Amino acid sequence: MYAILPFAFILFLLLVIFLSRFFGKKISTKLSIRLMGVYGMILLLSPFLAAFATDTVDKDDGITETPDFYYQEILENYGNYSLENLQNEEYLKVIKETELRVSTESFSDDDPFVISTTGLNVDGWYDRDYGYTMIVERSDEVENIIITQFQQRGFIQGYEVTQGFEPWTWTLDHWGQGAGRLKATLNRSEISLFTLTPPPFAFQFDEGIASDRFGGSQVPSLNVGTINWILIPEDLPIRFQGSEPHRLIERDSGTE
Amino acid sequence: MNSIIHKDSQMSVAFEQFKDKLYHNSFAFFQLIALQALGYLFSFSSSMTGIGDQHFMLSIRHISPIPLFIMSVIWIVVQAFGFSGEKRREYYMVSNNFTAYFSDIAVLEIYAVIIGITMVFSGPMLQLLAGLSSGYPNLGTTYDSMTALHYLSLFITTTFYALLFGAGAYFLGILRSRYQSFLVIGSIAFILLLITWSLLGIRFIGPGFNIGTAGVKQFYVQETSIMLWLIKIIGSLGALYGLSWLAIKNLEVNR
Amino acid sequence: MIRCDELTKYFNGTRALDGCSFEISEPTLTGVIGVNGAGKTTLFKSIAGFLKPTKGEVYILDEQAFQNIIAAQNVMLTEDGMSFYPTASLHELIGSYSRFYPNFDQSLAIKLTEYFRLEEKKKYNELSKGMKSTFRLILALSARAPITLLDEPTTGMDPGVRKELFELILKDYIKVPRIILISSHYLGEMEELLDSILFIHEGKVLKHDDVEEFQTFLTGVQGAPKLIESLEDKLQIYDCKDFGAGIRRIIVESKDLESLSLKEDVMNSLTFKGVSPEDAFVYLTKRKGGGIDELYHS
Repeated sequence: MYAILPFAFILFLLLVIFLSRFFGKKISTKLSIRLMGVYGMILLLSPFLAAFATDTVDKDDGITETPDFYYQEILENYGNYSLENLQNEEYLKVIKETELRVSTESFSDDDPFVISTTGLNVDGWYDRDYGYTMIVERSDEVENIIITQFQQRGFIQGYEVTQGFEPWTWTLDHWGQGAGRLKATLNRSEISLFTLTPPPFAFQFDEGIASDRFGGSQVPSLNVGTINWILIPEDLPIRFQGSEPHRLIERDSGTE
Repeated sequence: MNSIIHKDSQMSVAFEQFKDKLYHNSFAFFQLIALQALGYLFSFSSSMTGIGDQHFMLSIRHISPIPLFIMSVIWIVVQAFGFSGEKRREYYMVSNNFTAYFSDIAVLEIYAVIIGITMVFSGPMLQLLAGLSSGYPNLGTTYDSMTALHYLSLFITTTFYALLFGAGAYFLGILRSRYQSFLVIGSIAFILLLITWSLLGIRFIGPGFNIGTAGVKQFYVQETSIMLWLIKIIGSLGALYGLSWLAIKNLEVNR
Repeated sequence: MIRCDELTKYFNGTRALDGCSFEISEPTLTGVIGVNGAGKTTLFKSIAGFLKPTKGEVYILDEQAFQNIIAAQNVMLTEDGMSFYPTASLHELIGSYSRFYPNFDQSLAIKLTEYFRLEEKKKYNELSKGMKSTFRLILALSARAPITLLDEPTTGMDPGVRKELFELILKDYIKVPRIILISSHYLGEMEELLDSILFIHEGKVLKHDDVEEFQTFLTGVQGAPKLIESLEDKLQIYDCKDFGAGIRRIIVESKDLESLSLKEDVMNSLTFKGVSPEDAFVYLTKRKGGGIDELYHS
């Protein structure tokens, strides 16, 4: 959608250049002065007009930026976390809930339901904490597979960009000899943040930010982490393909 | 009734000329609007930083009014060349070199102030334009960190920088008007002088000597003390104005 | 009000004015006459303060003219090379000039613009050559500057309009007497309105005198060839022509002729004719050593 703006500007500019070149001498003095007057009025009113025209992304006043490596802290303490705990966790946000129908009777210990993470091919960056956690919990309260994906809240310069993350796609397919498989596909997330940046001249005499004043912009670190909490029916036999879950909660015994 | 002899002061004539030039050069405002429109367009493509891999792409597009300032500087440079180039016209009304020079400088200063004002409002204008396009859903702004003093700094710095460019262009234009036949030789001599100066500077001062555009830019732009900066700017302007006056002082009006 | 003391001006080695001296202190309507390249425009620009004299000086109101704001306020120069703001209409230009020249009569300018059918909303560059000349003249006369310099004011105009404009100049001069210098090639048309003539030739003032003096400056003497030839050794000859039927005519200065004190019988055998200022101009600027005839017959 925003691609239209540059073309509109180019068209306008071509028009102005055309007018200026061929009709410049026909634009009277008074018209020029009036145009300048209109432009000046727009400039003076721009702060008020801008407030109505735009919805700049608000800084979330209630939350400070996610601490570095918060995601890792969750992993370290995960032993104490339940699904409800995570849902109440302020630094995590549910970005998708998926429910997939499964028939427990179709599977047996010899022919279990497969939970596959093959093909995800997620490697962490050296300087970033990107990774995922998969937790599988057996529950007698569900008849289908319910996957709740949590995303670690991300902030760039005080603006939350969590909603920009693409959730994984969990699907059911048949694999092997008719066996069922829960498969994850990682979708590429593209987050674009537009930020109005004042010119460095404004801060020329502000020694407090002298070092950053004229340097190139640096992308602040953004820690991303995903937790997929998979609720499965209590009696569903399963096996894992790819990586093992970080936690497997056997509900009936309360043990893992 | 004989024709009355008048002996008005030079300054009153200069002021009258200033008003006249401002009025008759109003087309310059139209050109400013056009060039600033181009500047706003480029501001939306200013710069981008980002990181990513096959899973994740984060891009931060900076909408910065620097291109707007550049286009405005181009505008004032063009106007300054225009004033210094077409010097015959005003002499057929009441003028001498001093009033012509003084009124030219006064008009250029008004133009520089206009640039400063447009720069102060550039943030809200960019926000307004972004909002009208509906294409910037994640629009953040770091203008919130700006206080009134920052806006004042923005106004003062952009005004003076624009004025500096205008004064430089005016000086070059006056040289061109005055010494047309020596233009080529003068340009070559100037380049040779710069090369000699840089060689001598490197020889005696060392590799750190830098008189390139980056060095000139640093001289002004990296100065954080407002008093020192004002001294540099006003000193530079004074030098340019003084040199322009010396060049125009005995300029003859002839086809 | 205007005083030139040995005014000399060189342009890149070419001499445009060479020791030009004259003085005008009273209101006058003076024709500045000279061939192309005589130095008329250079003289006007020097008076207007546009050019710096190479030697000598120009004084306007007892002040050196070059780049003098007092001179600029009280001198109005119009010439073919004058330029105006390209975006300004005639009406706006009249407004501008009225702000700079305190004596400017804006109502006169508007009336004249209407009279000569110039559209006020048009820009100067949109006018024809003749209309441009008319507009420049309107500005010059309306400005009522104490010193008004009109350099070839009737360029591109047809004879009818030229005559009207010369009448206009005269009427305005009578209404507001001031120093008006007009340079033109059409001396014959202007002669009637001029008070005096300033004759420039090869950068020098050849003669500066009242029109009546110019009208009697040269005399044509006609008679038998032998008689005429006897006078030629004693007089400076400006022109000499042989007509058929044994008649020869020479052009000489009247005062030189009077100084000869010719005898009555000689006087009676000669015919004397006055020479108009226009013809005098032709004779005074005539090339020496052969004319067009010789070019074709050589």
